[in-house]
Amino acid sequence: MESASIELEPSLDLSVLEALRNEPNGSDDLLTELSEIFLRDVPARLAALRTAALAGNTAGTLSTAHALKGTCATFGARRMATLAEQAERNAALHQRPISMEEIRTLEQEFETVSKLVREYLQTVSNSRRASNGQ
Amino acid sequence: MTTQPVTGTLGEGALLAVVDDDPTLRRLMRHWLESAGYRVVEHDCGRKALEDTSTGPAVVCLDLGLGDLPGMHVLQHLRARDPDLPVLVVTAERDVATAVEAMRAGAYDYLVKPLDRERLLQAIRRAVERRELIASVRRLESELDDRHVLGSIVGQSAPMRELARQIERVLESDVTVCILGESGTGKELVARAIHANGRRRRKPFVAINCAAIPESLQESELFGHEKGAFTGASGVHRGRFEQANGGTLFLDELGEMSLSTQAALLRTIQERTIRRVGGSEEIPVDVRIVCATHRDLAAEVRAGRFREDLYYRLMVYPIHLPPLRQRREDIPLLVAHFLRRLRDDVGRTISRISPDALDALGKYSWPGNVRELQNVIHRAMLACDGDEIQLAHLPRDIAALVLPAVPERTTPHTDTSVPHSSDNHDDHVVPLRELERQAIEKALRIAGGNVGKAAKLLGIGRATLYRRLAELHTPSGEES
Repeated sequence: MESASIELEPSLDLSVLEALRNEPNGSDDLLTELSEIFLRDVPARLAALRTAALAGNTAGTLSTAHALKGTCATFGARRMATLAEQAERNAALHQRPISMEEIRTLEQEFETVSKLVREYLQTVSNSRRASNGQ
Repeated sequence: MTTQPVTGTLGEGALLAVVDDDPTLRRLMRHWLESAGYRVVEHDCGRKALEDTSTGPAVVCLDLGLGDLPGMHVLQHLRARDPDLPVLVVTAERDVATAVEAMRAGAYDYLVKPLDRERLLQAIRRAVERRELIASVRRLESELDDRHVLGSIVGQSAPMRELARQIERVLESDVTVCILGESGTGKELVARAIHANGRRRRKPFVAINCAAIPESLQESELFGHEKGAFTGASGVHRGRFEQANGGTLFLDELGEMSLSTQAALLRTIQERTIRRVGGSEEIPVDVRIVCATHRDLAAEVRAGRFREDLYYRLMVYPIHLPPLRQRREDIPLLVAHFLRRLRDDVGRTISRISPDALDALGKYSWPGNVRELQNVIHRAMLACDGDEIQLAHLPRDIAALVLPAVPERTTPHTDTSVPHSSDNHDDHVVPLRELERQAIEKALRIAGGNVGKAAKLLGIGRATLYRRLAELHTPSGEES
């Protein structure tokens, strides 16, 4: 059931990015800035997760996965948020660090998310250029 | 976060703290909150949030899953430091037990990530309103106290009736008031009365004693400083002008202000803006200034120690407080007032004073003014076993004014084993140690227990006085 529900989750919920773009007093610049922060922050958290897992630090992996879940949910990386939540729940249930396999899955998912974010930003940039050119 | 009642602006423009280790969410929250008119200070970990004691936010948004400290621990510490502080807990945890635990620990509200903008702003609005309400209640409580204070400073003598008239004339205006008078005449009480009975009464009253702050820190205290403005400036500090915004700033011991601070004060009065030390932003301030000094400011101007232009700016409405010796008829009223007010402090009711004791108080010159009278009554109450203060409970030099020779006193506080220095025994020599004890006791009484002032009166250094006190085992009196 779990894997089925994960498959149904979009990697990147574009409506979240659209909403950020259309924030009151917001702008494409705000979206770009938030995207840059997200793309910089998540790899650091994944690296911290890997380090904690290699050290056998259960609590460290739990807190990092928890933080990752919040960050991804905020930015619309829904599948990644769910993966982080599941990894956190499994580790807590079995009192063990998050597995390397789970971490690899998260890393792969982040590659997809970052690609989609960059594509979206490119689309936004192109449409801005087009509207400026008109 | 602050140990004091909230000093940050409330309502629109209220200062909010966002404590979260997620930089994406912090940036987004900052955008949402600033767009709604709030000011935001960010902390990326719990330790920094707890270490920040200078910004004084009206509300804190706290992530429970912080990297360095458990969020619940941070919540408990923030609430212990300021029980009125609303803390909105923000977490990715949907677990009901966590929510219950947070609410039990004093969280004002509980929001689950991903945050919804409207839900967050609604919770913030409610929290700020609650903070405003609590601040108003606190101000009203303090205002009630201050209004009682007005009753105590206004006696029935002609000088005090004139003082009441002078105060009334400026209550409904914003005119700058300069209160002049000897030490201990109640200059701060008058300043508080002007504020508490005037139209700014619902806004803050902030006092600063210029003599108590080293010259190098005066500007930072008054105008605040930016982070990194000088060594040790680890965070943004809002100065007294900003804290008093909308209300009254009382500048006590104005004559002790450095010339460079005087220049900055003059600029602030003229421009109605302040600039924090190390900052470039002009911050508008709306503050009524009430100042006080025991010095002859005109003489200070002539001596080049006080700016003439500032003198004229501040001396718009001088109020002269009469020394107690010029309103002796108020002494019975004041004694009755202190007997009531100090009742809780000494832990019992002493409601009367004997006629000869009152007579002695009326004859004394009171160089330390009302503060000295309060201290004399306080000590007499401590020494008194019954329900009436008698001559024997008064200091020897005061009691001697109605009795040529005062019998030896029996209370531990006033007991001395040698005759008083004013006794007329030509063949009796008072030991130097006793003379010194008497001089120190008197100086402390006049200075209202302030060791620094007493040392000045005695012409010795503060350290020397402390040493002498230790040698004599003389109580150092109460701090005023």
